[in-house]
Amino acid sequence: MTERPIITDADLQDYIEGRLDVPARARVEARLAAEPRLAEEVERLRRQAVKLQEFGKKALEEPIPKDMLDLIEKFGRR
Amino acid sequence: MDLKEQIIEQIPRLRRFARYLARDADHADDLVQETLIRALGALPQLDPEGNLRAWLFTILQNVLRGEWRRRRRSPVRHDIDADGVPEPSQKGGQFESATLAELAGAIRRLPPRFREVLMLCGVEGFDYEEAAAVLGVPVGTIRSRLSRARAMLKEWSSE
Repeated sequence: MTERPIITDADLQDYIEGRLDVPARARVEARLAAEPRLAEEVERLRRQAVKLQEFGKKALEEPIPKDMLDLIEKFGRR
Repeated sequence: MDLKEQIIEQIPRLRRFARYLARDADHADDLVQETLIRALGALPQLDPEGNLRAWLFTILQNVLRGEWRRRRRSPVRHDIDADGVPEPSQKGGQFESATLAELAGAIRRLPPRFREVLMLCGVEGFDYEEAAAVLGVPVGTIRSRLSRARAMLKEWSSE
């Protein structure tokens, strides 16, 4: 008889947030394989997490406003 | 990289975070400007081995909190929608696709307490402990707010 790994809500959250190491991920995925409905919900949340990371990347490419750069420049020149 | 360059490197992240917690992009930049002024003034207190990003975000968070307290004391504004969540004006071309724009709208509908955690952990990549330090709450609170923010987003999403 195969052992079911004990997976906590915190484990599921860490999995969704992409914070688990490979062995821990494998344990969670093994557990999810046995519970398709939970697996589907977790997968939706995980996809949302990935999308959220993509989101806002455009904002990082924007040039920094001159007055912000000037502020730091002026400070350094004392 | 010297300290000035390290601070400059964080500016785009501060602006991105502020944009989702402020009234609009211009207001967000005012808040970031205020954050930089305070940070530069407090540099002697900065631990050189410390977490600069978390330190800057903590200052920005304090600036934001100050704004919210002042707004609660001021008369009713007409640029805030029925939920009390401000409708920020979007600078054109900010989003690559309709789904990201939909996500942006959903994020803005989140209550501020959930929105800030989602932005810190889900977009900025802070871990739970860092986010807890920035927001001044326990790690357990970060986890539960993050979980609820994601659940709300999932409920609103068409996917």
